[in-house]
Amino acid sequence: MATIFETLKLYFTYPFVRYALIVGVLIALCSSLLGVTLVLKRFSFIGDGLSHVAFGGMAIASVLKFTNDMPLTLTVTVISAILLLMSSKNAKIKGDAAIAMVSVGSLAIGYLLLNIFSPSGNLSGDVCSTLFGSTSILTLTKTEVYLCAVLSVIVVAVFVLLYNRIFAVTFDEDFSNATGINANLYNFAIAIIIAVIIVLAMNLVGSLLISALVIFPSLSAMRLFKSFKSVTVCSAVLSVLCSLLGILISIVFGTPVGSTIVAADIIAFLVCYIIGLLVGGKKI
Amino acid sequence: MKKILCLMLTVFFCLGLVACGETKEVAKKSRGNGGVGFTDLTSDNSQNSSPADSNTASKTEEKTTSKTVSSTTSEKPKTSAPTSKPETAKKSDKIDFDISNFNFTMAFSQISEMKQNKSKYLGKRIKVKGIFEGEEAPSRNYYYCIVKDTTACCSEVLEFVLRDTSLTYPKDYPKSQSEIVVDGIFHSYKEGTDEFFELTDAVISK
Repeated sequence: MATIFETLKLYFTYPFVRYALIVGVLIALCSSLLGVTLVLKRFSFIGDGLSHVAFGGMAIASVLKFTNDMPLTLTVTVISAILLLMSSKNAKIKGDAAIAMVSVGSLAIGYLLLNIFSPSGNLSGDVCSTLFGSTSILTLTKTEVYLCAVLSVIVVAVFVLLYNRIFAVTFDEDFSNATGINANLYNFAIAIIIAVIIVLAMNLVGSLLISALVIFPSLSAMRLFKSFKSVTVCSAVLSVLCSLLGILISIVFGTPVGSTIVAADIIAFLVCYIIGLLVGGKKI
Repeated sequence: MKKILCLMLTVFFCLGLVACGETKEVAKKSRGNGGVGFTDLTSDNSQNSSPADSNTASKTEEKTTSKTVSSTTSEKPKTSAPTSKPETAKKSDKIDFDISNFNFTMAFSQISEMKQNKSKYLGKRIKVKGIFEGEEAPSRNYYYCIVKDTTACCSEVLEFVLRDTSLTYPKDYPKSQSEIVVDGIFHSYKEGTDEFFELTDAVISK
């Protein structure tokens, strides 16, 4: 144990480790806040769908040899988020079908473009790194850290300021409209925020595991608490703790960062589930 | 019960934050133990890697045996003399950054950091563990120390040039794909528009 602490103390002298922890905590916080809304609106898999869209955007940016793929990726992801979350109730392709269609289509087109135009010599490595995160979070530049920090602060600020509206829109859009709240506008804002979080979270856990960051903290919190505020706060705390723990375990024991964070989320969910059962007096 | 849970979660969170220690003190102590020391985050960290250096700043760059060399590049002849035993590290060779004991995740990340912020590391003696690979090319031979990340899908490559130039490849060099520990002076050079990184005055200690 002492050796682990000594190792951690040494590793904390490295700037890239500190960057990873800062960004990891911020991303986990943002994704957990919106995760509660998404889970309650039955859009849990939107994270997966949008992350695949982001992968497609990154592929196009790579093929076009953009020096910075973030603007195009963010733009494509925001547009997709708006289209998916704001599709009308009378749309012919709804909810999960629309997400699935956009998700697999983007992934396939993205990989096809990368294969045909092959911008780098290590295609499989680039794809693997994007899909699973690998060590992306540990190879951030200072600019990327600042960008993540600014976007995260904006997301948290928007959530806190619009908390009551988001709460109303999450549970009953019709009632919100009837009481004068423009539900479409807030759905639009939520869509943009989710897209931003997805693009940021790809650095942390990769495209394939983003849904875990969104879903697990919310579901874990729902096992313990019932009110929207309590669930949101607990979700945020759990997400940050699991993210911290995942990154630390990963750097000490040399495991993949994304998978380790998700494993921590799963363990947290199991613990919360058991506590919820015990506190609620229910039988398994 | 809810309050107790909230309290426990808060305590765990605070414990996590408490783990972040004084970076300067730890850095001094680690230097004293012959380990790695780094400047604090608040110190001047100039990043010299420009967006145009996409090949070198790439997080997943890997050189395979088919390395491309610009046709306009002048030759860099390396003469091969009769064989001699690999030179062992001199006792006076002070290692500035020793990442040979790091796990895959940290070693990969550290080399990526070195390439991104090369100004902090140029001219320093780096010790690294990786997989050996050699390549014979018309102009010169290339010798690589490949460090893969934990998923083995991405790798960072450091070329090295041995101090003992009398050694011949492949006779006096390690076997291909064998694990090596090599230390050398971190150096960058350009071939055409591409920038590459190598360890010069290198010594293989394993």
